[in-house]
Amino acid sequence: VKDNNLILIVYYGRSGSIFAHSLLDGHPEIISLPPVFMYYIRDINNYLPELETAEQAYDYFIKIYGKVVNCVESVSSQNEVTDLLESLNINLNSAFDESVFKRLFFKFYNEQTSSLSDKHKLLFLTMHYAYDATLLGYQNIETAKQKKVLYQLHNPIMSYINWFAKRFDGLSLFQMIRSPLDTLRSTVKYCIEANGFTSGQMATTLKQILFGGTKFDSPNIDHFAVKLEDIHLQPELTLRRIAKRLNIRWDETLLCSSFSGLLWNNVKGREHISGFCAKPIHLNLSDVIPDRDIQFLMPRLMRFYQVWNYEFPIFKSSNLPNEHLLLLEYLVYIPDPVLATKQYNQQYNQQYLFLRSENIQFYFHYSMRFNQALVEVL
Amino acid sequence: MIEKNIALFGFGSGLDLYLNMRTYERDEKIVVIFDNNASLYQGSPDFIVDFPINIELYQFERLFITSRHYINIYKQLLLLGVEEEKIEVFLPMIYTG
Repeated sequence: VKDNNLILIVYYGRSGSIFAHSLLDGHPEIISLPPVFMYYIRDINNYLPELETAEQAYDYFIKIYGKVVNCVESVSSQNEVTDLLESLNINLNSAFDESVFKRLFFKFYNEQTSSLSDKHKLLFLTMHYAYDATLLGYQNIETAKQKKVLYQLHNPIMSYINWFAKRFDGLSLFQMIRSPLDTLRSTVKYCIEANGFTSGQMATTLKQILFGGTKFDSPNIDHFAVKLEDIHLQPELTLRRIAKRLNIRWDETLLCSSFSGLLWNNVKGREHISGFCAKPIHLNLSDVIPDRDIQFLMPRLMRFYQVWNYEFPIFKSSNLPNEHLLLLEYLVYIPDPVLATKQYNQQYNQQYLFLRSENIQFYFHYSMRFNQALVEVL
Repeated sequence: MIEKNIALFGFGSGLDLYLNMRTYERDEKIVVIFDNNASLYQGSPDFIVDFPINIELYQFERLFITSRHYINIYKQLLLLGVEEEKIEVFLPMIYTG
């Protein structure tokens, strides 16, 4: 494994990518911003204007992420970044000094302009270096350059990964995975708890489960997966393996969840786990994925279980037609599945007919013959 | 290295991404790019671009759909007699489409 300078963390559905990020955050050889910066790469690809000068770059940064660096003008503003801070339960470091950050931002930006012509890469590195230097109290950019940058990309969108691969000599793509049906069930429940499960979320969730663990095949990218279950059951052993793969030394901070120097706990709720959970986290699937749906989904997910060495769920083998409707498809239109379980279970049991979207039809059809290599487990 | 002959379908942003992601030498040769608007192609002259109606003129082992309209194109290819085993959707089209 070559010495990679950039580490991207991505998920496979709801599989602990924020948790993994929180464990690597705080390692002395890693620079890591809180995971709310995941929008940066989307902005670059979609609509970020040309940022020709350090002033323009800083103005953009403060406009979107000002609250994260305690910018006075941004403290009361609300945008998707602040929403994400809340939903991820991330506390901001009140000791973070924006004036120091600003000074270091301009210093580091200007020190790199002669060597970096790509303005978006320049901003990406500068915001990481300045953030880390402000937190830890150093002034020299060379200190930052010795470290690896860790970025929560979150969604493994190939064009975004490719954006990084083209700009960084070596790239570690660290994908969190989890037993596929547990992931599906957990993602659906999470959506229901948050705002209700929409048809768009259903399509996205199914895409993630059926196609999301595909290996990114490029010699410039070291793509590997870590099982969430392994982190919970054997934290130190698994994190030692991760450290070795990322070519960073073992450090006790790897066993501690934090962001920006502050301890981090997952959001509270019955579907959320904070810290390591020594018990196996197998979920009772039946409230979202009853037996017949497992029968329908398993032929499409079998190789995920095999390649990632997961125990198969118990299910009867049968040939359900492609038209079989899943319970989660009925859950799309209701705000609270507990209240409506009886009614919708009845409709599901009778396979009450509705028109499945063309996209979903295609996912189920194509996933039966989709056989691209899957990412290998560490 | 023995090259595999492949075909692509769609010359929009999906094609750019496909070519962009070829950051290393793949053992494949693009024999043709199909598109329902083939006459509007203005990209690299290195590629042969043709209408799918002429698909029988080309020999390829696999065909990657590099268009966001992959569902309709998939159906169109089946109607044109392309074996389903040869058809693949370039994954970013599904995953981000």
